[in-house]
Amino acid sequence: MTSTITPNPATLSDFGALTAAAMPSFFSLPPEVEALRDEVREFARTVVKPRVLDNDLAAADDFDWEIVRKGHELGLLRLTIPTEFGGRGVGAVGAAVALEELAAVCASTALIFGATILGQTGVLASGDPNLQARFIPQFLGDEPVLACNAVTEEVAGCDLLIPENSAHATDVMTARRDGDHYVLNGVKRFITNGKVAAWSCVFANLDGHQGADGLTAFIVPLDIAGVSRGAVADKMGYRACLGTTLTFDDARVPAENLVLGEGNAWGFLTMQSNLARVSVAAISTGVARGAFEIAKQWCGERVQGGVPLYRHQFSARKLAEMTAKIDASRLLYLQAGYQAENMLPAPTYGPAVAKLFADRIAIEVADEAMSMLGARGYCREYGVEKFVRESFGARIYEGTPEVLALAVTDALYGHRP
Amino acid sequence: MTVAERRRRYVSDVIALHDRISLRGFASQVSSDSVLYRARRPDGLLVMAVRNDGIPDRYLLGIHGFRLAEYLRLRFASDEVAFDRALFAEPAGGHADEIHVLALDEESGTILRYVSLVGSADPVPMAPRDPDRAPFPSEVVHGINLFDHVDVDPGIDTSQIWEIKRLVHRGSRAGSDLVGRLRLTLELMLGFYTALSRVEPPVRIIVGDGEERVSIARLLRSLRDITVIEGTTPSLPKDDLMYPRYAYASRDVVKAFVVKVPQGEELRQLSEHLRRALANPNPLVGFKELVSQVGGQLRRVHI
Repeated sequence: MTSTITPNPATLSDFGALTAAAMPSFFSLPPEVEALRDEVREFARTVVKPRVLDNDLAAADDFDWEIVRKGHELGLLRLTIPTEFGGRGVGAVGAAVALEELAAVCASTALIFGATILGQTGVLASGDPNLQARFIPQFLGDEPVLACNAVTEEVAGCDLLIPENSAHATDVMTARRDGDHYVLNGVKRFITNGKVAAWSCVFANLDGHQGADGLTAFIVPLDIAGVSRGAVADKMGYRACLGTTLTFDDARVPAENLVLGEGNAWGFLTMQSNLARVSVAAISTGVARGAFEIAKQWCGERVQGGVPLYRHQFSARKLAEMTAKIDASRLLYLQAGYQAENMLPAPTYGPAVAKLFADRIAIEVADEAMSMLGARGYCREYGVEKFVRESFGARIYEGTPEVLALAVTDALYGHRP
Repeated sequence: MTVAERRRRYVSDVIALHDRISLRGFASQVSSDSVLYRARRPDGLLVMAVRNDGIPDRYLLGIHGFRLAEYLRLRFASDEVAFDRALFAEPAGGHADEIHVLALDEESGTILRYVSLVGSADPVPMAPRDPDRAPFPSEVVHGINLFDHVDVDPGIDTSQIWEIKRLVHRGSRAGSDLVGRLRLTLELMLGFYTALSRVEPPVRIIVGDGEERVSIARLLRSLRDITVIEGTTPSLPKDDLMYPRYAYASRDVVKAFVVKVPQGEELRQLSEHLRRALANPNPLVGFKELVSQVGGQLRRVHI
């Protein structure tokens, strides 16, 4: 069976069309973000797309360094790094727009770059120029370097995302001060890029504090003694990026690798989560868009009852609902990204709403797209089933709907910004 | 934890950082208009001379980072200043023009050897003895106007005077073989002199400073018309990154110098000697031939 579906760059939901003069928008992207979007779209079309199927079918621990290398040439590992460090300095909105473009072709490739950006925030937001000078310039060279962010644990999952749960968190990784080092002990789970990253932003509870009340962040090179990388999780989707267990067994980290001081990680984690939720909302929007574009093309080509599917009212209604959801999702993440870039304290409401909505519509749109393609939607080679599998991933990482709902209602009732 | 220990770890991290950074894409990313010299050898050695304004910022940071790392390794740069200012690259000097001559291992993208030439900071060319002209960095260090002590041909202005700076090799490769190091020296010299021949207006004078038994001795192998200034007390304030270069705990006194650059056919001949030396199966023999054919004389001015 061979596919007759070919990429169609001009779609109703095409991001370029939204910003065209013919469709004026309340939002206009900065010129450098528009240029970045076009570059990344071309990269996704010409470099990522031809490798998607192979990477999806590969063994769980296979990693496509070539795609990372080419993305690094484009600057995808330097997106939010300030220009004085050799980065592209595009901020949260720019990073999100780039991630949507990648995710519209392959969400797991998007997450390789997204997880690195997330790890970098620990250094960039630290306000510590020495920490920045030691870890950020690694990304200016031509050899790609990956980073990661290690929060999730076996027992403490959502308890490390909901500040009110802090005292109830159990078996949390510990950090003990020993002279001019901290000694880390514990296990982190499902850490994207953990297998391939050079260093990680790691969250641990300071010795002597209950639960996670003493949560503290460290920048930890992953090649030091006492750190080991476990097996790669065999996931149903997001197979191109590697989720791994990281074990810390008396790992000694220099005290100068501390981020924002002892016991200050909850505030940082909230800010970081808000940035991450913007990015994940963009990835989910991209997943929805990728699935929709295949469905739209199919409905334009497939003739039943003497007319293309899109001329049938039932299909037309579905297509209209799908594109409306994608456009709404995009507007929400752009607004949240703008807030995250420009507001102090870091907002919770906007990014949580954007992610809650985007994660849901990604599942709905991908599901509809698969059903519209019938049997083809169930077969790997047409690509929709991968979007379906990946649509469920973002519902878990960086805040489940339940965690997000608490963040949203906290904001509604004035407990959080 | 002592500050000294933190500083030591910081410097060690910065050096290690730049040992890992690859500039593999350098040749393809620089503006072709700014390339003054390019030679690609079968063994993967790439030598380029490129004007500063044609190099993307990211690569400039890589080059300045290499300079800082190597100067920290040599203890020519202040670890205190680097640490206090959180430097990961040598700050740009604000020169009007700069030419970077690099020998790179193209496969790994590592800089193996490097030298820089900086132009005058005068917005318009001025006479060398004009008290209002911008001083060259070495003049600031030595506290003199070099041309109050050294005569140059009439008509030469500051657009034809450049300063040679930061002649460094990668310290982590210091143990490589003698012939390989000599060949690298010759390759860098060829790039340097070819670049000089392509600069407009022509470079007539090179100034700089260095230890007599090191930098000046190296220059003398290919340039003999050198005037060394004796009797200055070079110094930089303690908060200057390069302060230790002029603090003489265990090394020779750094002396300023003025070099007359060969012109036209003489410069072309110099490049030709270098090419012949490189073509010789034993570059040491070729190098000795080169040294034997270089003319000129060393003068000393005592002030």
